[in-house]
Amino acid sequence: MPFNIQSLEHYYTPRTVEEACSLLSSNQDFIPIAGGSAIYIFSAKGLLQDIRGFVSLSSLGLNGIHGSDAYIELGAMVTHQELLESRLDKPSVLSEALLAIPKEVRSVGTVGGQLCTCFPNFDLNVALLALDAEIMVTGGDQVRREGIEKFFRGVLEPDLRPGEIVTGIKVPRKRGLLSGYSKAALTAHGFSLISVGVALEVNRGFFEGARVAVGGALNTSPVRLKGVEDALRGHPVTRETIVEASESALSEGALNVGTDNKASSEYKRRLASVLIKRTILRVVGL
Amino acid sequence: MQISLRVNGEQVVVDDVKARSTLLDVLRDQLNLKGAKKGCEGEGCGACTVIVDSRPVYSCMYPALAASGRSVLTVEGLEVGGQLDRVQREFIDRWAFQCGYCTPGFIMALEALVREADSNPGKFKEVYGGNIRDIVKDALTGHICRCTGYEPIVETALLILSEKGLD
Ligand SMILES: Cc1cc2nc3c(=O)[nH]c(=O)nc-3n(C[C@H](O)[C@H](O)[C@H](O)COP(=O)(O)OP(=O)(O)OC[C@H]3O[C@@H](n4cnc5c(N)ncnc54)[C@H](O)[C@@H]3O)c2cc1C
Repeated sequence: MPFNIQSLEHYYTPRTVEEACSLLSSNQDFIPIAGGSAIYIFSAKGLLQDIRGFVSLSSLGLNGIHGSDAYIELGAMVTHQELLESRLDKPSVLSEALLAIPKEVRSVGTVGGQLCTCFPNFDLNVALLALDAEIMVTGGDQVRREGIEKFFRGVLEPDLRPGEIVTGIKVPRKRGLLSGYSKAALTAHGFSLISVGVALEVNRGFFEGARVAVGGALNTSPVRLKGVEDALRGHPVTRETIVEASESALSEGALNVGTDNKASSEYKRRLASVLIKRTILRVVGL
Repeated sequence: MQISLRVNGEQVVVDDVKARSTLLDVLRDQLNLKGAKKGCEGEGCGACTVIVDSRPVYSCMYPALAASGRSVLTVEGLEVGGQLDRVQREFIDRWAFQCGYCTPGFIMALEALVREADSNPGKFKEVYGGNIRDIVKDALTGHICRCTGYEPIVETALLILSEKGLD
């Protein structure tokens, strides 16, 4: 059956954020719908049997794309393809992650929709973690601003209270940022087995800032590898530093991964370490 | 619920659309347009691809109610005055299909790419980096041909785009 949401009866298209939030807070079995592409996956897996209504976020005017010196600001309903096509000066990690998403999905999938899944194997999530994005959340009246690490409470567990939606995100801009994204998957357009997003600041031959985010077939939302970051920060930009830092991805506690029908946990750790090394070498030009 | 949308250039009104209906359901079951196929239902095989407001989408996961007010193009809408369009003719001439099940999806994906190139050729370099083979791969990667006839499909795409001075 297509859209295996047997109990679905309602589909609302509110015109204001307040109205959307109030529909959601007064009906526990309603959920927001953005592009609907992830909802479709949940539904096919039988995760949405009890949903009675969709609240479409398409008419709330959440599709702005703005850039300033300090931030890139995106409305929650900006699609992956719109972001890719926008004339904003985008960090490479963002464009490269977007291009890893199949084109038909980019046409409909939204920034907010992807974030709210907190899925580790969705590429934009990993890139936005590397870029330290801030998430704008509202329950109708006030907007609160939350760091992405706190927002990713767990897979399918965004830090949202009932009736709250994401209205947009802010991605801080850093001058001279070196960034990149790599993905390993079993098929040409498959979900990642492991993916890596890095965002680095280099000053006078030394790593000054480093954010290394890993996604893929993890048991958690995408994570930052602080061990790898610490082994980079303050050290000279050499092959030796990078090789050594990437080895810390192999340690037991670094990634919460299990063995599944596609790969063993050892393999995933090794893959993460190799992708980290290659991505950093590539973005610093070594 | 009722929706009103443009399908292949004609304004249509469809009654009795359920909250859970997909665009593919409406096209196949209510408008009798059987070109878009139901293949994998959610894994990304591409057989259900149609163009909505000039972008390729998987119609099997596009909520029908979200299509209200939009313009939808399916493989049936490509023919003009009994003449197949360029992409269709080239698929035939170059045998770019075998069993044919995936063909409408591939044709619509390529159609979307050709229209993208026509509307803004400069965009190709800016957005995708400009290597035409990579751009074709990006456009077709969300499609599976179980007969594995990818080569002639990619060659057809490259031929059509090269005629537009993109190579
Ligand atoms: C075949 C297929 C292949 C894919 N391959 C890839 C891939 O290779 N890489 C990749 O990165 N992704 C991939 N995806 C996933 C895709 O990127 C996500 O489905 C998409 O980003 C989700 O966005 P959406 O707008 O469609 O979300 P929806 O499906 O509309 O919503 C997702 C969830 O978020 C909630 N939600 C949505 N918006 C908000 C909001 N503003 N505030 C609060 N809650 C909200 C919804 O209630 C729902 O729970 C694939 C998907 C499909 C179907």
